[in-house]
Amino acid sequence: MTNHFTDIANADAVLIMGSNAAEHHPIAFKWVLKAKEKGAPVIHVDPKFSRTSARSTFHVPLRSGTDIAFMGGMVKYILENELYFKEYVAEYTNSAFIVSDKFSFKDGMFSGYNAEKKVYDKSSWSFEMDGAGQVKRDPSLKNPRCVFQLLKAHYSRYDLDKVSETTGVTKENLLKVYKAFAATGKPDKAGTVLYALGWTQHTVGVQNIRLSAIIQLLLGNIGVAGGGINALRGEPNVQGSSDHAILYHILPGYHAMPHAGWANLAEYLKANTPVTKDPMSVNWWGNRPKYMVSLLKAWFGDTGTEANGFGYDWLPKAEPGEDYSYIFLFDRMYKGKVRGGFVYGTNPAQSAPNSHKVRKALENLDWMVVGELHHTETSDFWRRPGVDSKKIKTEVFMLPSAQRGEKEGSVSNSGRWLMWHYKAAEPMGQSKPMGVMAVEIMNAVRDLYKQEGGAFPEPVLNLDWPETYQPEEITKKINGYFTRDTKIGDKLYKKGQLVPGFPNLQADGSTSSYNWLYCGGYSETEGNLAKRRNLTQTPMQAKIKLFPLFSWAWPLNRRVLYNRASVDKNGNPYNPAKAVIAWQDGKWVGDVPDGPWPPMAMKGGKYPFIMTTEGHAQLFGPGREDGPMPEHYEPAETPVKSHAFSGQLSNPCMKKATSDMDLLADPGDPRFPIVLTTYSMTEHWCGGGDTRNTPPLLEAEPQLYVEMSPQLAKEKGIQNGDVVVVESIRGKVEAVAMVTVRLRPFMVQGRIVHEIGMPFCFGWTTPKCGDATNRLTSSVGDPNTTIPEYKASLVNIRKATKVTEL
Amino acid sequence: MTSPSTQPGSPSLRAIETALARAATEVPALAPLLAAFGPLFAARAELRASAPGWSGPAPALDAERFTQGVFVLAQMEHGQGFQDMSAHLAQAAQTLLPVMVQSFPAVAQELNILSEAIASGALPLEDLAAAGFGETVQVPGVGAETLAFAASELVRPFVERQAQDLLALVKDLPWRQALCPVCGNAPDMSVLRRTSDSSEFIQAHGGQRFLRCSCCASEWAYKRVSCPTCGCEDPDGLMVLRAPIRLFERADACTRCNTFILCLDTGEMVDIPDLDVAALTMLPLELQAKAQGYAPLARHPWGDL
Amino acid sequence: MPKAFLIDTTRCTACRGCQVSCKEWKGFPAVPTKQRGTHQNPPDLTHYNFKLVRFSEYLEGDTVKWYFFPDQCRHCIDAPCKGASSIDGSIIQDAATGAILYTEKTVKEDFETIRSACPYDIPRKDPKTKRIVKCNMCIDRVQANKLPMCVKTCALGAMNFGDRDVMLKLAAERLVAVQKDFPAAQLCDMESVSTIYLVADTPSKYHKFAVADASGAPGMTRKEMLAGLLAPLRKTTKQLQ
Repeated sequence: MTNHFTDIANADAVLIMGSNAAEHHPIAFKWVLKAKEKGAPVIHVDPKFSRTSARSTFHVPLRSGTDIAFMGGMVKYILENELYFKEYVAEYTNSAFIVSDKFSFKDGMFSGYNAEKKVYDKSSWSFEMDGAGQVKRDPSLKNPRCVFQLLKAHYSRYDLDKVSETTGVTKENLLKVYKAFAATGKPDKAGTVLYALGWTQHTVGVQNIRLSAIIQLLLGNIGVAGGGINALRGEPNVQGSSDHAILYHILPGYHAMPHAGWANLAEYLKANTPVTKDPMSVNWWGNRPKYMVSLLKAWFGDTGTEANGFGYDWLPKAEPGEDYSYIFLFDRMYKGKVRGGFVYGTNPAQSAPNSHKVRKALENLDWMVVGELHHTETSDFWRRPGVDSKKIKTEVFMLPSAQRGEKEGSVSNSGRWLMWHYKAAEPMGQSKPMGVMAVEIMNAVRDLYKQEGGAFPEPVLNLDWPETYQPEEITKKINGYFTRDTKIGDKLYKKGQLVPGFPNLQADGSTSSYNWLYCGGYSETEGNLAKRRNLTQTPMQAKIKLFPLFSWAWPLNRRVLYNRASVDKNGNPYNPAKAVIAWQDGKWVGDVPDGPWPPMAMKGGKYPFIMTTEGHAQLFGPGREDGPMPEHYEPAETPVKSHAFSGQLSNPCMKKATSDMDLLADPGDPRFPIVLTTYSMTEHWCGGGDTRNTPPLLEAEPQLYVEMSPQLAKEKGIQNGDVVVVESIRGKVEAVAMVTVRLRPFMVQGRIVHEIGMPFCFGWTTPKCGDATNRLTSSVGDPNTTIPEYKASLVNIRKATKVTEL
Repeated sequence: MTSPSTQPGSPSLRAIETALARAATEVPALAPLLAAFGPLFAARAELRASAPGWSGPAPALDAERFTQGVFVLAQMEHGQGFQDMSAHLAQAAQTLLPVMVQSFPAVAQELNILSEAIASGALPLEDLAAAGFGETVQVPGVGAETLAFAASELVRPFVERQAQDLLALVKDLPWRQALCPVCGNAPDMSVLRRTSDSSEFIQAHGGQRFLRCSCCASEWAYKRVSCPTCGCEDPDGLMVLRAPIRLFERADACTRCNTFILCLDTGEMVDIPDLDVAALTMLPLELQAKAQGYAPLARHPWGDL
Repeated sequence: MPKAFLIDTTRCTACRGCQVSCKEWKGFPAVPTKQRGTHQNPPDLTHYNFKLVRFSEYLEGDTVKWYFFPDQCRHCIDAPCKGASSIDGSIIQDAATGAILYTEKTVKEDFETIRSACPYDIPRKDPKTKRIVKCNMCIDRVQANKLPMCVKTCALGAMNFGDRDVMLKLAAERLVAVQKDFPAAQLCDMESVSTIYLVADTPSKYHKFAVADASGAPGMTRKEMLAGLLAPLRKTTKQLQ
């Protein structure tokens, strides 16, 4: 989230897309209702009418995978009706930047595409520079090559007719949403966007969010109270695990994963540290060397020195361009290239796409360690229905894990608040927290290396590794220490002192920090700030429910990111009634500003978007893999053969596994005419491993169902409660038909397209409850993140003649 | 923030009676004590209901200073306290002292002497009021402790009634202190109450914590997991003393500063008892906390029994 | 002081916390269930489910209406089931709370008579103990000054419990508030029951037996039965046998 939960109450309009917030983020939803009480329209755009829809001002059904068409229409509406916040767009975004004349966009394709590798050469997606190395600009925004004009031209194609025939949303409903949300383009109004997996789990997932950012920037809704782009992260600590990089492509603190092309630290830092010649641009990532070196110092301690790149030389390096995400991890496993592994707190045989392939892939492992509370479809894959256990070689070890309430530690909420939680009970039996397992296992491995030696022991033996797992100590190391007596300005810090905030981190090895973002979260004087529950705030802060002393937020306890964009060039809030920061008597008051510099118009002033190289928010965003401006592409599996916006049907860069089990239905395949979306449900948690073992919850939601409209049921001769077979090109699933008016047929390109929805939480280890819905979904993913497209697959349904799974 | 409201036969009086009856059944050992203090609580509640509130113009308050911790009475000129209620004390003595005579036979004689001193004018009412606020006043034949106890009981209904009006002035302002927002005194009781939220969504179950002033019975919301004496928020430093059969009665103690405050958890109660009665019913717990070396933030009249 | 529930269905989100906590407090095992094309599960009240959230949905014009109804015993002020009982002390009314309580003597009652007497179709028979069972207002808890389990669990403010006069006042206030958005809102059978439902639409859209006169028993409306008209007659008949 750019903003935070209590801030949602400040919104003058709430757009919820790709999220069923009321059911899956009920506490967050409280703040949505607070905004609604004060008159904010709450708009829910989602294929299915859910409890979120029931609590919203209105619900607009939309065909899965057409969010960009929907939002593209909104961009056109905002621009053509001049509803955008002109000063904000002109001053704070890159609207005036002149784009290179090598850049082009033709028939759905941007310049630079390499059809063989299915990737773009992004060099033409750049800006024209003047002699001083600064971006050329046209403040009048009239130059046809300026970002504003390119944006306008790009989305001028997204007219109501095309958007409506693509999305299945009526023109009346489109206009209703556009009008309600675009009203927040006034300087003193704010609209918030809430999203979740309904946006990310698409082959255009990142561009869905990019386009919402463009809308929010046009309306001046970034950096202000009640605005922002707000991902509702889940209870599994999605925010914290992203920040601390339980992802293959980054290191903690959002640094690129080292690859073989960057042979040493200097090369790595050169490739990953942007430079600007504009003195008003902060270019915060210019600090990357300080953070990267501090991270390496935290990992390797005293053994990391300048000579070995502070330990960079010992880091494993990825192959350039290789994808190690879930989809491709299991693809490698399926192809026999993985021998063993650890699975903690996740159930891929249930939750990963194309489960048949995943389950088959697990058979190729020699060994697997599972850290879990219950036996799951993953831990027990070797005895799943239809396989001969004797023929499976994999040796599986089950490590009983402590439940959430049985361990202490931190969780980062979606609003970036670091929240400490305490242990409520001792772990049951022999179960242990995962942290304890990781530390103990690694210590045993280190002992073996010490005793027996081994190839390349340095990465293992040179680690600064604890004897025992102490969450509080880890939290301190995340914050970081001075590794020697260090003088910064006129202040002397002693060796072993905690670093007070990341502006003090150094690139010379004098500081350590597991994660620069969290530096400042553990204070030498105030202790663990994640434990802070102080509700004190100034009257100005109270107006926007800022609560700056409650827990601690990264970065530097800033509650609203990009808050320098909430004030004009002289530091006066655009909305004085809900000011986030203000320049008063020569200093900033309110939230922690995005840097201490004075307002932009004053001497020493800086641009507000400090994280981009040019200091301006990116309407034109050159960094993504699949284009600088979002474009509508159909899902990898789509019920249509073409669409109105271009001849490019689906995302030309989407990631796709290519084994014999990775089949995709053809566009408009008559065998699979129905769109399937998948989701969680209230009664069961994620893949259901916990909750299916909780009898009263299983009583309330006992078996897999498929929600469908009465029209589709009638067409297929299905009665409510019938067992049906749902079939994609990859597999078949039995489910009970739930015929409901909450799903409705879409009118797409002049014909009816049906969409059905299924939860993914039922698996065979719970007898007769059904089995993985993900046997239907495909191993295709977004080109930037490789998040799989769980939200749109093609299927067909028919009444079951024989029932075995239910 | 809430404050007691009592009219004759009102929910408040009914709450006292119900709570007394329930406590006497549930904790038979306390029956004598309940029988002694019960009538006093009831009489005081009736007196409070008919007492005059804050008279004249409302004090001018600086919301900003209040938010920073300057309580209502401290913001008045010359640090003036509650308004003088001595004119009403003769009447109050006629109502309350006979009840106390019945309830506390050990000091009945002293109370009778006091009663006469008030009626005859030997003890000026201004002095009686002063005694009620802790000043040393001499009445021949009446022990200092008895006089202090009786006088404070006599002024209490008037103080509480005035406090209701003062508290209403600041009900929408934030107050984060552990001392009373009206008179600045320490709390002698706390309560967890279910709060209802106007928004139609999830509401917390644990209840919000309110501290209750030992002097004027005002209640104010206070952070739950924290020690009102030293501010300790470390769960390892905070402990809850309670008996397994009466889990809703707790003594919230702090091992850092060795203080405690009684707490009634009304989170799942149907009828919420009168808090004076509840505090009295928690006497065994209070004694237990003291025996373990914890000191109360403020004492109850029965606290040293 | 008699007690009452106010169940504000406009605040209910069908989280089913009440349904689950009810059976957990009472120590009932989960009953085997099947998905039958609805989230409502088990399909009906059982001897192990005294509380059940009922789901119903309608498409009206372009608007989906989705209703939730946490069904339970109404603890009628003049309970027809008690009137229909033939054994003294099998169905009693707790004087302090007004709770209608089924005792072990219900073993000897004719189940069908008791069930059909109930205008809300609440009583169920426990096949093991042969007793007739239903919600008992968590009388064990209420006597210990604790809220019934379903009320304690409800995080939405849908379930309320307290003195009848307090609940009636709250009901009246909520009705006024809800009627602003839902003019058809009403309080179901408020005068005759201790479990008062606030619904936003016609009661029968929530549940066939949401109100007493929604069903219609042969010969006599259930509303009339509720008034207890038959009770003296039935008792007399029994005595004459």
